[in-house]
Amino acid sequence: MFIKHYLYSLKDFTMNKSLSFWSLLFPFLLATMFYVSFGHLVDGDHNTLEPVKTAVVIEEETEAASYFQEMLLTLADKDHNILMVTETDLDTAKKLLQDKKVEGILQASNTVTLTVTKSGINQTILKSITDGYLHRMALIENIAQTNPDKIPEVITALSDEVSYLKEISFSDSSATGSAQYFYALIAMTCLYGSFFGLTLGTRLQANLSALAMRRSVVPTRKMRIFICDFLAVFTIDATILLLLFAYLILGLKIDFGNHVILMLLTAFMGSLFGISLGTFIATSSTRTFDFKISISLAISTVLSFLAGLMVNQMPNIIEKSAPIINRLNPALLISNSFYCLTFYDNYQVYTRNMVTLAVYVVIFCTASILFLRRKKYASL
Amino acid sequence: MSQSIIRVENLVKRYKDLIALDHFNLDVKEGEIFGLLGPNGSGKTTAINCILSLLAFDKGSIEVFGKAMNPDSYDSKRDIGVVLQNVAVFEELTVQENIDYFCSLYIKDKKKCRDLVDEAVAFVGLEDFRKFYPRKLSGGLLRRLNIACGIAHKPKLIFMDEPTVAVDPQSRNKILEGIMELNRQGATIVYTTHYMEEVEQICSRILIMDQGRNLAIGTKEELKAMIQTGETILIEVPVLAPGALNEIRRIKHVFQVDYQEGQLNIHCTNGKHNLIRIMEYLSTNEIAFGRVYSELPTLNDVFLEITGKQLRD
Repeated sequence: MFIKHYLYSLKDFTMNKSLSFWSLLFPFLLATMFYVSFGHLVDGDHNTLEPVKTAVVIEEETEAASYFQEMLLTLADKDHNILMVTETDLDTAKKLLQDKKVEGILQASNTVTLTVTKSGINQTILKSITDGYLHRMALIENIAQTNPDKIPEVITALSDEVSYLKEISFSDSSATGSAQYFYALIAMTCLYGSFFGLTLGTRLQANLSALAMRRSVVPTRKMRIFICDFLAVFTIDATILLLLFAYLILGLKIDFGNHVILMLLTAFMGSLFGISLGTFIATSSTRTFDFKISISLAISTVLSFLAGLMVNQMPNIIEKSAPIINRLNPALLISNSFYCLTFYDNYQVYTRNMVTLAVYVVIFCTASILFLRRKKYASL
Repeated sequence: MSQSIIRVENLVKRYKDLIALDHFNLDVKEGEIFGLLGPNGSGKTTAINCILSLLAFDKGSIEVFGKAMNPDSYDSKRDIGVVLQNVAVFEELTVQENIDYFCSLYIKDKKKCRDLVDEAVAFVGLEDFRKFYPRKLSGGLLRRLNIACGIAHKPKLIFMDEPTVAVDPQSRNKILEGIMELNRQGATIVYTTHYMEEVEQICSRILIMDQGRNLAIGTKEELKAMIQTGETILIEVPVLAPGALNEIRRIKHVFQVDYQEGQLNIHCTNGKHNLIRIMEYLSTNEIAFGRVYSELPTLNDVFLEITGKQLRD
């Protein structure tokens, strides 16, 4: 009989249209929108930026021009591959710019000037290079006037600046930076499991629905019905997550690295959290179902926002001022666990996140069962 | 004398300042169709919910099958069927699946459960709608499904809380016939409604209640015998002289006379030849009259006399 009840619950929840929209279609729509909106970022991860074609005109052979020339060669070498430099005279450079064969002209003498004919990413890169150079030169000149004896140290420091930034891979993963948006999306989908939990809880409390009233007068323990329903909604939510992963990996070609199975298990834990949260919201109050849906939606959205779904720097901002929020935010625990698996191979933080989520699940389920076990209602 | 199936004594239920049940008493005997009759808000559903241990109450005692009723009374619950006022079925399960689900919450044996589901489907006449989803059913068919879900396990005691609300006459008759059939098969039924015709048609004993209190209890004959009205005579009289009402009131057995919109309503106590005496008066005084009706008292008259208000207020 347990299996029969489980299967009936499974069918009833699966065919519920409003639940299907929020839990299945909405994340898929959002994933597609992300892909369309940030598509260039996703593509950019796979196809590195093309070097910027630049015409360089050395107008006067000065020490500064020489230093600038050296910097440009560094930026054009195969390690950096930011610029593709063509050294030429001014007239030829102008012709190349007019014919759109270069993106800009850098003229070097005692100072450096940039000439471009339009705005864009490539022009912004050239402007940044020029500004960076001029800033350094201004710094050196300033020190030359105030503390000339310190110039060698400053030049050494500026030269060493590059070595402070070194790319180190913490993982053997091939996952890309743009995946973070999709991590937050998966976390949000997990939280949307709360809608299943809400429906589940409402159908078990006699003061919330006629169906629950009927199920309260049967000679079957509420705990048994609760477990059947919980397993049914978890099955559905886990399937939705499985489909979402398949869509992201196979459909949108998002690279999640080498730990997809563990990531899926993480999402399942997130799903358990979402369902238990929804059940808790449903059983802890006698407010209307619509009100509880609003509460659940608000909680999911705020937690997802704090986890960086809308502003990806949000967790960093929170980490500086109120790190406890990051330690407790379940949406961030889920997305952060994905990071741990794909970028850092950090199983210690990953385990801590999973344990925290499990504690949440136990607390919410226990509280819900206690509410459900309330013997009689004051009003129906 | 049959034994009591339900015994409720001095039940008090308050919703803050509102007293929903005020020392309510109930004694339902095995094998009867017991009607709980009262206007909306009189406390019928509250009483049922207290008996089913869904609602907490402030005072009193409840026994079902001779045992105190509480939420863990699974043995008692196994023999109870409930047809709720609101339709309580799964929207995304078919008729057959819904009945099967609820029946299997009572019956563990798979084969027995399957047989009972088939019986229930046939009993409410939903054989052609087995594969239908509730949203595809008319109001009447939906009510029948609601009943099937409550009685499929063949309970000994069935609570039916206004099962015919918003139901077409055809389905209503089907439902009422079904209730009588269940009773013939041995079930004791507690039937709540504010439709007095239904109670008169099917109930063997009736409790009239209002504002959470018992007002009267008995068979419909006993209840009607409790009131002064024995017969109500209605006569179409286009014109009536001013003093005629007082003269009619003095006729033997007449205790109340109203004249409104050309219709004379004469309430008589139980007596013989009331109509003849009134006809004689009208003829003697050359009072023109049209159609004449004579009605025996209804439960509405009983309710009206006891409470001073109509049952469907």
